[in-house]
Amino acid sequence: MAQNDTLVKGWQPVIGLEVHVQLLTNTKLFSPARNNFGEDANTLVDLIDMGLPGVLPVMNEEAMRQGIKFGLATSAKIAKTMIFDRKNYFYPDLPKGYQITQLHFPIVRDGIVDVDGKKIRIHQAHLEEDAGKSMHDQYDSKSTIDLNRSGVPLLEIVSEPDIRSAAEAVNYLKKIHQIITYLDISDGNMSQGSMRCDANVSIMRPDSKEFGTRAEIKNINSFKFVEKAINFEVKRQIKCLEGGETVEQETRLYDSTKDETRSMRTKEFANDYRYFPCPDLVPINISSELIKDISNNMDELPEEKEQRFRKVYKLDDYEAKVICAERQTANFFEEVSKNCDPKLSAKWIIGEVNALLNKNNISLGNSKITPDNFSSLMAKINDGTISGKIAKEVLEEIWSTGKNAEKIIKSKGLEQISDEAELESITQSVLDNNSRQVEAYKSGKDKLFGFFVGQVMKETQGKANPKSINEILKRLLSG
Amino acid sequence: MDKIELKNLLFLAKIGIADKEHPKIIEKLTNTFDLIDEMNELDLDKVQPLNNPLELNNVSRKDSDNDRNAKKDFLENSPESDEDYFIVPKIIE
Repeated sequence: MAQNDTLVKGWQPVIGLEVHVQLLTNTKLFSPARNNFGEDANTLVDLIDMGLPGVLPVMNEEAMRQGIKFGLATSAKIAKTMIFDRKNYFYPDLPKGYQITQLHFPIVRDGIVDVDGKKIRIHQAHLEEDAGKSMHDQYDSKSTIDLNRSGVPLLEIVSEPDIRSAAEAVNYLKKIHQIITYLDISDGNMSQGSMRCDANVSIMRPDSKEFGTRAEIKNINSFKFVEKAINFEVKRQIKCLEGGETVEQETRLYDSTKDETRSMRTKEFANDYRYFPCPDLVPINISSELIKDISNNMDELPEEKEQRFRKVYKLDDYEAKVICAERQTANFFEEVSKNCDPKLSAKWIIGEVNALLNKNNISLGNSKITPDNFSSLMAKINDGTISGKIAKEVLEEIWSTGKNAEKIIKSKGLEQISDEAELESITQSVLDNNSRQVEAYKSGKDKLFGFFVGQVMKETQGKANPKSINEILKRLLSG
Repeated sequence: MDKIELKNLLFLAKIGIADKEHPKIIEKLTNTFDLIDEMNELDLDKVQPLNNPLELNNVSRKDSDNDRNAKKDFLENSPESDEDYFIVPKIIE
């Protein structure tokens, strides 16, 4: 048996994730109010979202299409008939007193996600409406409610308990993020709550046949916190069990400032949602024609894109994987490759551009690097106007100003010196000033060649064409 | 149905009913549950559940908005509000 490196102090963590994804529709799941983030409070609210008496919800076709897309992308079963249910509970950000969701007949069942070669099963994915937002900091003794989010379509993706470590949970989540952004069914923005995650965590002995009692950690809103919350929870449960206590089945909250999970005080009565089919909404049959139509018009998935990039642009496995990790980057690469050498652009995107993005912690789309200014830089490297070293400098200038490479090179006088006569005279003066080293080189210290190259580069502030220097130096030194 | 079950039910439904009314309610609900028990004795294994009494399927709408903003009306007609928000009793401590 292969060594199991997911064990923690002899215990096997068992993890299942519930991921809530806000769909990218124009309007809400059951009302014609707009679905958008960051607008003035309570301006995107319809009578239906208010839960006023006598209103009738009607399902948004686009939300259904997006749910089907996800099902197709995960090789899942798409429901022939899906049914909406009411989940009943009272909370001020849920004006109707119930959430419309899907319990027994969800849109998607039995999917598979490949996470670094391991198959993680998806139990189901169902459509449901989001609740409004409550805030507690405006008044001392009151809470405030914004219903803009109320009724926004969500796809809740429920995995089987197939995940065995916090790191694997993060990779699964990243994979889901990649799929939904590639399908363009969500922006996947975790900091704005477009993608949220609950983690079901339990532990057991590796030879045990039964899972342990699980705790559910609610509303984790970043990749980093998913890992931290699970790691904390696993350690807490180990301490519990080894100290002779039992793990309670309960809902816990992850507090990122203290890096701990805390029990959300269980109410006097256990949750009892009294699900039943929503009488306002009739069953929806999904025809094979509709599924076929969606399938024919689906955007390329990450694996398909990687494969195409390997074939068309001759990228190697690693390059294709890194370039295609995010759809934004892949689109950028493809745009740039219309005019530039793809291998050269890939090298620069993977290396220097990604380094800048990571360092500044922003996405390509939010940076000043555009296909246009980046192409101009690639062109200048390709035609020998600037060296790789200077190109890095130019890229940083593009990063902070968004200017075209040509302008930057001109205004800073960074063109590579390729004029043979000029280079030869510079090189000659370098040799004249370092006669001792020239002597030593000629008597066999070959390594000094690099020293001369460095000196010429220094004289020209890095602008000399390295190939030309090599030739000139060889000629002058052999004379 | 006993008193404890009724209390739970009232809690879930957020309904307040005076204690002296409880015996009458318990009696009525017990009758209803007895009827359901009778139905449960039928063999329904091969019967598809009826999810909606209407003989109607696939009612849906296109994804286009109504471009309406009734914020002012909604807030003004709520029990308590300020310029931007609905105001409710504090829901966390």
